[in-house]
Amino acid sequence: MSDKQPSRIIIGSSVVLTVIFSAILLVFVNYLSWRHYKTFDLTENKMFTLSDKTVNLLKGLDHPVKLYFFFNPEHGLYSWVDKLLRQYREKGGDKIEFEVVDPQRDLVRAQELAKRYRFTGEDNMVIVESGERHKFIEAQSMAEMDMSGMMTGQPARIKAFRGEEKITSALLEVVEGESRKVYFTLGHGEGDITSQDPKSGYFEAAEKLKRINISPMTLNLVQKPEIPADAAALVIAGPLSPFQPDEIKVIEDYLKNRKGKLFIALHPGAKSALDDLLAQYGIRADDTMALGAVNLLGVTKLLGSVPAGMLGKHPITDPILGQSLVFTNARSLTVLPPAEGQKGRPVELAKGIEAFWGETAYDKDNMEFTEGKDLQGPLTLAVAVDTGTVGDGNVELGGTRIVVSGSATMFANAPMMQYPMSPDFFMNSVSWILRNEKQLGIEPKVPKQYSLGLSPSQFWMLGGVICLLLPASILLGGVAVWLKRRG
Amino acid sequence: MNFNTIRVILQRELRSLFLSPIAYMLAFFYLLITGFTFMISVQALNESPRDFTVMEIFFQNFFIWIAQLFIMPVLTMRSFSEEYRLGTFEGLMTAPVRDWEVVLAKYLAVLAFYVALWAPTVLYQFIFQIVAVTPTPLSNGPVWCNYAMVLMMGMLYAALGLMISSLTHNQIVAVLVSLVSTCMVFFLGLLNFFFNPPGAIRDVLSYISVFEHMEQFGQGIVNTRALVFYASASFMLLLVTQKIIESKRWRA
Repeated sequence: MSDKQPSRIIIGSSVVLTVIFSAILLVFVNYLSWRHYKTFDLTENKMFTLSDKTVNLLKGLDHPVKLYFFFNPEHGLYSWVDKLLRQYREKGGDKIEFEVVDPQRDLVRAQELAKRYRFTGEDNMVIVESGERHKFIEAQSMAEMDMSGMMTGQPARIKAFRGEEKITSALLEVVEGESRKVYFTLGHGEGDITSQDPKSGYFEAAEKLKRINISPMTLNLVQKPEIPADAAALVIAGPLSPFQPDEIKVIEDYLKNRKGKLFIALHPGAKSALDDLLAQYGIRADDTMALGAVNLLGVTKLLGSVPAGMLGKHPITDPILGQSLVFTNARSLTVLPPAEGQKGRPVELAKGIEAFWGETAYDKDNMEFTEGKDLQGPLTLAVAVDTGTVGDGNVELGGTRIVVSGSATMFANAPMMQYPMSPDFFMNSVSWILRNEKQLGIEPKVPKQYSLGLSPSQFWMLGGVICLLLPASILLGGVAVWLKRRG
Repeated sequence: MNFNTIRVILQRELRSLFLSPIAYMLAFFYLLITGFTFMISVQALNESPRDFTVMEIFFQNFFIWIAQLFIMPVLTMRSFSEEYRLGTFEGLMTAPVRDWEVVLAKYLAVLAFYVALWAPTVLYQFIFQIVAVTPTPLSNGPVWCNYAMVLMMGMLYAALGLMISSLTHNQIVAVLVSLVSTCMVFFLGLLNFFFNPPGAIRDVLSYISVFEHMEQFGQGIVNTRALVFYASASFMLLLVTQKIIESKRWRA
């Protein structure tokens, strides 16, 4: 204690200085703590801990990666994905940049991103970007939901959260994997990946592929009859004129000897000269046009767009099962009976609704279903084959994979925008032939569920003890203390 | 450091806290609130299965956290204000004690009472076990995280209340200003939900957001950021309080 009384000014300034000094210290300490921090996951099944695979990947990052968290806060997965991305940022340190965009409230930013990455700006998703490459992970692909409670009015429940697997595999692709090249053939009137033409252009389709880190390229086999070594897959998008024998030989060789991957979409009536090639894999493109008829006030109107149902048990259709796919201007396909030495059976992916038939006389006037001549519905409209498939679906690696679609028009710009299932089907097909799903072996997080089975009497007894007995005993204690002090 | 001095003052403080009828009323109402909240949680889980245990649902209840905002201003309002008013402060100041020993002892006393208020809730799950016969599904990690959060919030609010109490002779002023301040601390972090601040401000608000800490700890994640924030902010407030006391002593 001091003997002399310091002046008021000194006292005042001493207090002010202390406040300022400690405030600076506070800010500094907390800045450090913000920069360098750690989290500890105390949950029983380590719900919020990244797997070693992800952590190692994050520690070894050479280039910065940006994660866009493009989600509506009301989305059921918001807090899950938020926590997950924060862990990526924590473990990735300076290499991970993280931006939260609420599409409803950051309208300007949302539109900016929607424009840059070409999406509607309404979906909830995570965008993983590194350098020139980026990949989208849509909300619905991150979790398996349990809808069983919805009937009784309960919200959908997360059965398994696969966010880490999805984000880490996307991260791997944008960081390490050169984007894979998919070649679109040219020279036979195929859909052009640069054309904006609504009915024949494939610009939208190509953009969709870029979303999943695939580079669409073009290939002219007449100029140079060779399929480049870096081709991950070949797309033949609705040829109108026949392929030359040299070209066919190249494609045949690619499919057979290089275990090639092919996505082929066909126009009705067009002679592509690829029939023999497809037949080798057990698929025939019928010379038909899929048609339906409606009678409006006595006038029969023909319909060329076939609504088709997806058939399950295939990686292409499983995610979009129960949705309707529209095949515009299509021809039907037939799965041929198994031939000797043929590996892999074609699997039907989609069938048109029953009222649509396969018209054989599509170049004549007066088209209607003629028994015996035309093909009766439901028509098979898309088929997939994998020569690596062994019997019961056990997959042997390294097979030739082909997807045939009876319609090429359905993947043109306008239908791709108009029907939401067209792009899904297209991207799923290309992903499947490329085996796009990297198997990382990251386990999904499964939330534990708890329940109680108290009888009403147990409940009221518990309530009595906790809400009455406990507070009352405190009150009694207080009275006792008060009496004792008075007495 | 003289632990003995601190112990003596602490005992004096605790006696005045635990022997006042108001303290028991406070504890009574507090237990009513937590008790009802616990029963609401039991009811919720009894109705339909959920992804959380009873105690986790209990801590998710907003009531608990609102009650938190009120309790500390009430507990700390007396700390200095009453001594100023009754004139016992001079007596304390002329005794051979250091300012910060006084501050620390009063702080610890308030915290001890606060812990005592919360202690019965630890019994809830055990009472449940006995009364309901069936064992409660436990998830210890998240539950202890929640208690850690309760303690850290108490540390911060207590330091804040103590500082404000050291500034005024009037208990009513102290309790009101404290209440406004704790509410401000609490709701500052919520600004991120209402507005959409740019990056840096968002980061700062989220760093100090009590609400976000509650959410994170509530799920069983311990974050060193929050630990450092509460510890350093409490420490700074106590330091300022000590300075204020020191200046009062000189002025006296």
